[in-house]
Amino acid sequence: MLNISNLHARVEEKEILKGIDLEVKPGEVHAIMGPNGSGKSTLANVLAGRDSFEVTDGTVEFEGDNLLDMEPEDRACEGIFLGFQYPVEIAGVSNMYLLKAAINARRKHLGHPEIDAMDFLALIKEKIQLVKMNEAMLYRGVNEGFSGGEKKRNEILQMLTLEPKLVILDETDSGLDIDALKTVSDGINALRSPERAIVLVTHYQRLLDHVVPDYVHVLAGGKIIKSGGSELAQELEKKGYGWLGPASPDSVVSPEAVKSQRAEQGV
Amino acid sequence: MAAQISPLLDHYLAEFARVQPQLPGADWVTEQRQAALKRFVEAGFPSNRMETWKYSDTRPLQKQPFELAPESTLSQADVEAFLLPELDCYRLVFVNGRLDPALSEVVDLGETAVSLASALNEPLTSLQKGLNSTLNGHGHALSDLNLAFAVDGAHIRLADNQVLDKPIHLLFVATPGEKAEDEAHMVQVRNLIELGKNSEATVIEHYVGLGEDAYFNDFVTEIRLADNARLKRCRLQEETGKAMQVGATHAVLGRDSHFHSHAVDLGGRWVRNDTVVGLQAEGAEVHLDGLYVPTGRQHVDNQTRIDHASPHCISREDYKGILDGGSRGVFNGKIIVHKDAQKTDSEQHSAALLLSGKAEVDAKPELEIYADDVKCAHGATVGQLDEQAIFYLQSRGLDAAAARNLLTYSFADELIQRVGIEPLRKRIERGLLARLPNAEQLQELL
Repeated sequence: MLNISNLHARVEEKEILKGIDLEVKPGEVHAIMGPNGSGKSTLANVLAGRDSFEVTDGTVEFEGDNLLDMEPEDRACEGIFLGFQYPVEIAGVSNMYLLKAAINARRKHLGHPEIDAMDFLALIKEKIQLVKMNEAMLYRGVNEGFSGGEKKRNEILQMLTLEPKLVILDETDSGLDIDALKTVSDGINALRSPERAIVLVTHYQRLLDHVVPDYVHVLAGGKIIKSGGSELAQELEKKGYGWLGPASPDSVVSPEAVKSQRAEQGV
Repeated sequence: MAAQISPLLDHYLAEFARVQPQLPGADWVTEQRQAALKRFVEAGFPSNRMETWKYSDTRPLQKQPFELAPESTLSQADVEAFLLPELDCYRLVFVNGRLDPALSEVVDLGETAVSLASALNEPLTSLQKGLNSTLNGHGHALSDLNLAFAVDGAHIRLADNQVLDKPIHLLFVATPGEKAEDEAHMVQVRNLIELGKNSEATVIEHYVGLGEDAYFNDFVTEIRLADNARLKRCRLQEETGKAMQVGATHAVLGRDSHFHSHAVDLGGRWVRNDTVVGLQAEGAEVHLDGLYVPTGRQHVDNQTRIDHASPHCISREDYKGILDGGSRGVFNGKIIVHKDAQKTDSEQHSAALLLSGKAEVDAKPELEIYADDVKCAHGATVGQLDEQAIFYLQSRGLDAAAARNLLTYSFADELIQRVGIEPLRKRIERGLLARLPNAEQLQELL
């Protein structure tokens, strides 16, 4: 579904992604972990098409098409959803309006007529139960005056409503209390299916107790320095990122180096 | 004296002599007019060497000598597009400044709202104390020009404890009428709103124009609120693309009175507004909201001055500009907290959104505080649309143009919501959306 090869990206003059290779197949859940500044959010944003990041090398294919040639709105219409680390507040534009505009943009792209008003209402009422949001929030401005947890629930509501093919969640779990974390996790799990792929960008292993990934990748210094199964997340939680060696954006740790380091440590 | 003045000012002396017989008013009014004309000629057109005119060059007003727009009649069909059909309201329609009773809807309004001209013709009226009494030295030369030439306007007067059941819609229509080609018209309107103790009213001042020609609309609105009176006043400016407008609002607030002003500038080629509020007695409260949306080569200058002259008064100011094309905006917010105005509570915000690299705005808060126990806050921001927010909407499938429109709408929304009067609010929203490219898809937001 998603094929990333040798992806390099920079913001202004600073190179942040230094050669990412990743393949995500339908039905898979991948977790991308790593310390602050490792490039996790950049990767998520580049995949969704944010133009403040410049791709300098490499390719990204989505269902066989060149993703990097597509506008952000076309990526969304093709079925890519990015859950934002910091969802934006938009006063005066209700959640309902945005949800409807988003659904209809995708339907138009696919050549379908606009959604029927009653069907839309029924859909939203069903999905909002899953994220345990008050219906009144649908009529408030997008994220306007929402708490951090409410914003993240709202991202999950959008995700559930849009039913994307590829979900990328950028630190959706950060800053959540345990109840909100469970709600968010339930929302993600509800979407897991053999046709759909999910990429979780996270700083904490906690989320992965609730949404168990098929693969865990550790990003450091703009590269994936280690990949493994879900047990890798637990190991990281126990030992910290330091376990994988110094990992600042300026000191790339090669997998070979990690291997030898691990050998030294007797892991 | 004649030798020292410019031909242009000389024109206004001659014009006054020409039209004086048709101007309303008893002898005392004529004396005031003559004195005002003298002040105007002595001062001349404001120059941008003056601090409050620094960013507004009045040369467009001096390019041609304006003649007082003559009486003209319009049909209901001519003004249909400017009415607020869904609003249950009283309506006074002024054509080239003069009340047109046939187009107006004043049943049951009685003496509450009348033509200022008819009131001025009374030999001795309370107007003698009221007219030009709210300016307190803060007017400018073009307000004097207005006093000299004012043909009519609304005189709204509420008795003590009178609560008006419906808003009053004052519609001012400028029309070329049977204008000769080389003539340029000026419309001179003067409004006086006086609210008695504990009274309440909502007044919509709506300025529009017909035709393709340049004209100069010079108006003054005087407002006097007695103790505990409440006035909501909405000024909607939708002049034609070649119109020049200079408007001055002077309000004097009594004890515990409340004045909420919503000013919206959508039209006009060159626009200058002065809003001057005196908080003269304890507990008075004023809210000044302003929205200006110039595009192309439009120029809109908003100057506000609030005098906190008494203790325990509250002022709130919120001005927002959305500037596109090569337009120019000015906001100057002067707040003076006088020596005895302890416990003043004042907040001022101005924000401008530049949609184009060629648009320009000068926004300046100006605070003078002479009391020591006060709370004053102010902030001014100028910026572009938030790229992160555009990306957020794009990532939900909206194209870049739709995302920009939605965010622009969102920027103005809070101010528009506060207008409160639904049919008027919708008209403002439609006016705003009409200025955004391809905003049809936003219609369902309204």
